[in-house]
Amino acid sequence: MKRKLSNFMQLGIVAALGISVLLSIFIQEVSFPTVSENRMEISVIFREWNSSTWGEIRLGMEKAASDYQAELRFLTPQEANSPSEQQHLIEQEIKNGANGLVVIPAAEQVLQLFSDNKITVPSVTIESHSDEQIPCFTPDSEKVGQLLAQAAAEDFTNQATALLINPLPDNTGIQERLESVQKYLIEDHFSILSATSDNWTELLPQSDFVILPETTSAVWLLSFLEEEQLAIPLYTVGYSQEIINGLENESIRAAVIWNGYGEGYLAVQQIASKLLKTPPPESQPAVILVRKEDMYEPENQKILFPIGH
Amino acid sequence: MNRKTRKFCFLLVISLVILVLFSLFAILTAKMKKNQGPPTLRIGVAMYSQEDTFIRSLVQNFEQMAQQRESQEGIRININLVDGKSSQLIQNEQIEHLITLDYDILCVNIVDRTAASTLIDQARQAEIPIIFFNRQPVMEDLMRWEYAYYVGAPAEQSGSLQGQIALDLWNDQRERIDINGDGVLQYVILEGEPGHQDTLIRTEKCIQLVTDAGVRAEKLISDTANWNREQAAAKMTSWWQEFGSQIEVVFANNDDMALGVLDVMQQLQVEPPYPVIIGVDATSEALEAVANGTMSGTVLNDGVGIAQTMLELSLSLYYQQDPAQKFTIENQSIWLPYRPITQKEIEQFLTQQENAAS
Repeated sequence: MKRKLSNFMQLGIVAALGISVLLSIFIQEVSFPTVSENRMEISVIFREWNSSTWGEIRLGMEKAASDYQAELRFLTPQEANSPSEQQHLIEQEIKNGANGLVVIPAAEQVLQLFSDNKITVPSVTIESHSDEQIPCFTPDSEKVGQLLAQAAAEDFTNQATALLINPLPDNTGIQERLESVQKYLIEDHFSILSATSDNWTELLPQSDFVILPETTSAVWLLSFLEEEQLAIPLYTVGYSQEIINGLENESIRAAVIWNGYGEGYLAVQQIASKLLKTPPPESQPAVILVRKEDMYEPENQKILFPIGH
Repeated sequence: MNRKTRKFCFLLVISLVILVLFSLFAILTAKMKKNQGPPTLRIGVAMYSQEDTFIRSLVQNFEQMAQQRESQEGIRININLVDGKSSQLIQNEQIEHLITLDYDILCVNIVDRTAASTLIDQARQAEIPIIFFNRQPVMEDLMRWEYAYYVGAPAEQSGSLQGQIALDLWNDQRERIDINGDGVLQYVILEGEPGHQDTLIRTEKCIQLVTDAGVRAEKLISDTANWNREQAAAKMTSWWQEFGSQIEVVFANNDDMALGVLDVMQQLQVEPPYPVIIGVDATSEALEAVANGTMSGTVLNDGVGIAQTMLELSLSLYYQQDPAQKFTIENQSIWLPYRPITQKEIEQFLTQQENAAS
């Protein structure tokens, strides 16, 4: 009886060890993720897509994604600058398991998602700040406004009338830039007209110069002024080909530029660092005021005419 | 075996089994959590050069269509774009990288059409279907593997249609075009990349159609401008100094170069009507130029159609369906026809585009 029991125990031990070996092999197979599973997935949600405005930022993001083994999903609302569509995209991406989000918010309404703590993954915004502790990579709005106002003040006496156009009144980033412009122009005692995309054509004839601190709309305005053969100087932001052409032919008197490639890189790097638990980047894109005469300064050339990143 | 030893062995075995089962459970749970959400189709898209306006807009269409299809299909479509910067070496490395990243489908706008065999062999080894688009690889290479495809338009058609536009204008508006009244069509050609199939075929066919119709033609000069607007403008500036208004027709192998010619006309403040300028691609800026009469015509290279076909083909391959059920496939190629667009057709074409967009 004792011997039988002992044999039985030995058999049991051998069987259990055998099962353990088989299970270990199985565990190995399921535990090693495939290459694609191993990569972190970051969704980038633009407010609109225009390759000449956002192309450099995207290139920077792609470089960071490649450096940090991340996979990017680029999404854009079908209707440009639609906050509700953008909200839907954000919620959908979180639901579908995105590891991180980069958002260029269309409006305050989108930023509200961050304030309401509905964003449950590491996130970064570009252009517009959220009130909460969400990192934002964007040039300093106060500084952008100050530089544009100073440039106009150098070119005009305070007898001149400025037209400040806000093409996206709900966009807090653009709004902050305009508030700063207005503050500095008021200090210099300029007369100011404020317009949105609904009424700026009516106010255009009454103004001596225009300040519009948003690239895509500024490009549109440039072609409008050209078509209508109106020679009203424009002050704007950005480094797209159309802005460069405008500086070249002086339909743009001055533009505030910054390194969009770096901006995109930092945004993705911030999320990757958070996911990988490494120290996040701390720098912000520096802004430079450019006129036709200093377009070809070495530092400005790097931004306006980047050669193969 | 004494009682103590037996008890120890028994506990050891039980602990071991529990440990293994627990680990298995934990790993499977983590795996299920990781795999939450819909399945993902991962497409790597390699462009020959991001500088090319037509390619940039084609790929932009592709991304937008993919985003729209995600909700319809209940899947996610992740697209990774890479820019070959006009170097086959760079593109080879990029494709190799996309393969190591285990993409499901590769879409390749190849830099050098004679270099496809290496890419196809690599894709075959990794069992990743490869779709070439807009720049046609050598047919023998394409036939190396049944999961290698080409989506694009037949190059000879674009050249002939450019010729047809010039011929129609010659017949209808001879007085305007034959500036020196010698009954001979004086033309210049701005060519794309040297040795590129589209360059060779378009350059040959555009004038062949004119001369085959019995029109006497004289080539003043031709040169390569590498599909590039600035290079085309530089060439045209020197040609205009040399030939001036002797140039009656400018054939450009693509719209970017045709727009370069237009830039020169405007910079030099040449009084309209300009020479007949004909491009290929129907980019939005070229269409605008055709609409306002500064360009005489362009040939629609159906970028939207190519993007749509690439996406549908990618989905078919992802779902392991036979693409022949959806497309007419000839030698593993799906052909989309070119279409001429002149001032006569422009309004109708723009209306069609607007309707399609809405």
